[in-house]
Amino acid sequence: MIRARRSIVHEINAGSIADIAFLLLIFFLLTSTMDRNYSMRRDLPAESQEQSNVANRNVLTFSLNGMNELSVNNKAETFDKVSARVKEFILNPTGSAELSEKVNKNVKLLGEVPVSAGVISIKTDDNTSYSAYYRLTDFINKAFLEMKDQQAQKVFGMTYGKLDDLRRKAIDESVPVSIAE
Amino acid sequence: MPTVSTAALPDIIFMLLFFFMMTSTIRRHTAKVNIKLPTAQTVEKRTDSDGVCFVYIGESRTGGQGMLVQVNDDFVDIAKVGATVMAEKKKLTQPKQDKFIVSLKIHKDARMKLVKQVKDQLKQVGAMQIDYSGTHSTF
Repeated sequence: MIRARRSIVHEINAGSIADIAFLLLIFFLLTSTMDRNYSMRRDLPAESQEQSNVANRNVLTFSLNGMNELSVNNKAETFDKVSARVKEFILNPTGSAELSEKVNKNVKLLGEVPVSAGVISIKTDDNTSYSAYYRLTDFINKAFLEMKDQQAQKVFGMTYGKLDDLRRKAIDESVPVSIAE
Repeated sequence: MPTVSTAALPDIIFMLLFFFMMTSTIRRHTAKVNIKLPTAQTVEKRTDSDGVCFVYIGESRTGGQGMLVQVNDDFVDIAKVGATVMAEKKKLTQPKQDKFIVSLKIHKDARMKLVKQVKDQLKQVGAMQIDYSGTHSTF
């Protein structure tokens, strides 16, 4: 009797497992999105105290007009020069009196280092398109990332991305990103 | 007539299922506006999605209304963006509120006038941490 039953029920019908899996698959397809969240982090500046107590040489002004044309300190400029301009302004390799001032600052891990007091100012017109503004901030970010990488190579012999939090903070302090809008 | 064995079909479907589960993220809100994000090289992947409030600025799907502002799930009048964002913040738990961040998803053709208005609103209510969404490009 028992023998006979065993021989009848020899396997579970797995035909509907595919249907169940399909159902799950469709559920996930509907509830999820493929778009990755890529974004640029930015802290909004507290009410503008800029201009007033920052010396002229320490401000580099990027302006975008209503036609999305770029000018740097009121002179027309092309977008692909933005990174170079920012780097020149912040690093001030020749010690020019027109470019940003270096102030010695005590940074953890690094000791006394010259830190630029430069401020990047971004001015836009009401009619400027967001993509132009985005492009400009992208180039400015790029300049700062490259300078941080350079600094990290110089003092720690590694790229910025490979540093641990403590060292990264030291680099952040020695290459401060100050952007006013 | 010999039949094709479908025994491996569930395995294939399961593999697809796992693939989609790994590569996708749960959709939280649905943008009710059309948004084409600008592209940039320096965008980074957001690491944690906790304590994020989304502000969408884009073209209305029905057309004719210009750019609309949507906070999380609802359309909001431009003057009420700040208040709405703060109301959304209140809904979160305390640890999430501490790292509150406003993610701006803005159509690339939006005018800066609107963007500035939104930013001013956020400044007024003290939501200072923001990020600008964009598409990643590597050229």
